[in-house]
Amino acid sequence: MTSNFNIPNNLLDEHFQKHILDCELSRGGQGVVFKTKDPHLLIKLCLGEGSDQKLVTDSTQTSTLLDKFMRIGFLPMPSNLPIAMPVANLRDKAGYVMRFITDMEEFTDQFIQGRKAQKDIIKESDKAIPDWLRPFFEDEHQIKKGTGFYHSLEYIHLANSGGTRRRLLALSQCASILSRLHATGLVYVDLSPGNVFISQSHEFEHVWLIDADNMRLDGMKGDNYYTPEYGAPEVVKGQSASSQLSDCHAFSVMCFKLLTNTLPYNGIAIVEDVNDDWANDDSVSQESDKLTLDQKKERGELAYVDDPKDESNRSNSGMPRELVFTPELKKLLLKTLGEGKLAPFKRPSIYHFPKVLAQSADKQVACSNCQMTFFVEKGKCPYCDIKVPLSIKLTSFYGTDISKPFWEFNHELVNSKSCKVPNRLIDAFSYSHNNDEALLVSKETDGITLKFSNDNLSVYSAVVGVEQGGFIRLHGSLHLSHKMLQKGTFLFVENEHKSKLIRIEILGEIM
Amino acid sequence: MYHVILDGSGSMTGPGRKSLQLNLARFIRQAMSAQSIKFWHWQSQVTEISPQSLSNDIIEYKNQYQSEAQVLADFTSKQSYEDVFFILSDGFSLEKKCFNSNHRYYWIMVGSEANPNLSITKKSNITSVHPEVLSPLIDEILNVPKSFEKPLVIDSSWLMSGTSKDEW
Repeated sequence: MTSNFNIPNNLLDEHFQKHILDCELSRGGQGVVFKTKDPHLLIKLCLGEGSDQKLVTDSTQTSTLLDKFMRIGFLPMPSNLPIAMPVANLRDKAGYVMRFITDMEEFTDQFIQGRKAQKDIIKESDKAIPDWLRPFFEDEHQIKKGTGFYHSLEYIHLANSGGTRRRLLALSQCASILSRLHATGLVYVDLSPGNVFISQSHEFEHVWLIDADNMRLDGMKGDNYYTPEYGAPEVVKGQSASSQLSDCHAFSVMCFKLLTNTLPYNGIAIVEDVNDDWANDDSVSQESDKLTLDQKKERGELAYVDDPKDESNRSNSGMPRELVFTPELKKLLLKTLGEGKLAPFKRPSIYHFPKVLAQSADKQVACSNCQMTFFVEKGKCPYCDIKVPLSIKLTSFYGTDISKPFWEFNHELVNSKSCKVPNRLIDAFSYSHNNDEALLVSKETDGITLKFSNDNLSVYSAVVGVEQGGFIRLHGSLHLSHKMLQKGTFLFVENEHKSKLIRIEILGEIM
Repeated sequence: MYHVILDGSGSMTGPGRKSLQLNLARFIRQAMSAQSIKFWHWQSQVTEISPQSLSNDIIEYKNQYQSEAQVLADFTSKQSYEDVFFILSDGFSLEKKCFNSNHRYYWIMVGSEANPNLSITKKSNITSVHPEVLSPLIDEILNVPKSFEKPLVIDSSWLMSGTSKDEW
């Protein structure tokens, strides 16, 4: 049960609590995280620095690591932050116990398709490939014939794992956690998709971070770990310690990877180098050249693939950017991964990301045919050309000033399930509560029903042509018929200095 | 005009505070890039710092200096009454006399244990906030609507052309 490590199944912590190890949950360069028989507790055991992936057994090193874990407990952590913090050190082992929630999996496992999954789909391609994807798949299959990586199959994984919208929401939640951490002056240090967890069920998008053992106050000395591909150039080169700015770099790389299915510096410079390798049999010297290029990439010497001013490393691979990035998100990533690559102080603060990512997610709806999610302003599904499904569009405004929207929320309406409208539609964007439920919208045969989750809110509704368009206090739920929605319907959420007017619209056709 | 004041007193050399202060100042600069904004370093006097210096980590904190409350009061009193001040401080050097009644102040509380001087924020023109809510605070400052009052009826200007669909 404990992988290939020679460790007992029972481990004692510093409080003499016994923990029974279960299966391995994740593994990184610094350690292995195990589940325990208690579903709410995990155990991390540290690995030595060599490439042989052995657990730390040296007593001096163990003592140093246990000291480090103990100090993490003194950091000024914000309350209720979803980061699995060390709650007890292990006795005589370099490791610690951390609290966790159940039914979570790594971003890597949920969002990044592995080779094995691709091979399984190819084996079952007659049944597994949907019609809308078949021409793309067959073109690729003609060339690759079962070998190599199929970009077409990434679309199946994308659809099955909640589409771009779920990724945007997950990234927004992760950026919110980092924002709260940074707001107290802390730095996370080693961010990568292997350290971020999300609910297995697509009904939820709870996000947690693990591997808190490198966290420290920004500007303080400490270990400068990074995951290959995610390290900021100044940290890789040893010029600077890990900082909030390097956290922003790692987050932006993760954002780019999860949304586009490719890495931000893997452009033609890398591809051409690999092709050169294949064309030349001098494998030893070419291997050395390749390492140099990889090192150049890690050191920030290759251009960002989407840099409009530098096309030396452009890329045609990955998701078309207009399907996954809004202009605001594209700008943030360019500022971090392009302009800010070698100039850390030019990188946008992490505080910008949660809102922009959530705004992007709320502009997406799920196609009723292919289940891919897309920006509703496209007018039809860009993957299978089907019209926008029946959807609700809620636009909130500052007070009654409709010159500038405060928030826009779109979501498809389906028969079987209510649509959860988040709190960010009606309240100032909070890193802790923006995703809480504000109201539920249900599709009925003759219209829709809205129900606010907080009974203490003062909500008023008004419909063109009903009671001369006057605002009436809402009690309980509100049913709006097709005709009312057609005429024009508004809500007003009263809140001393934060009142919001909400316009309700329906997009798409009745199914 | 917005003024961002970086407290340069000795207590700001506490672990992590200087980095947090600079990161917050940079965020304000990024989030309010379209606004007129000046940055100031407050020690025994208030001196303007260029926005570029927020990027070069050249701001120094000297333990022997105490930021002087009266110096800040004198500085703000010379500014236009419409000006707004963001003070990035742990609060140890803030006193009631730092603030005058003509201006709007936002004290961004830097440092976890901020703060010993919370009572000074009881004045109506001073808002103290944790850095975690700086982003929505700036959003609110930049987007003040004419009215938050409940409207009586729907205004025809709110209706979108093409809101309704033929199918409905």
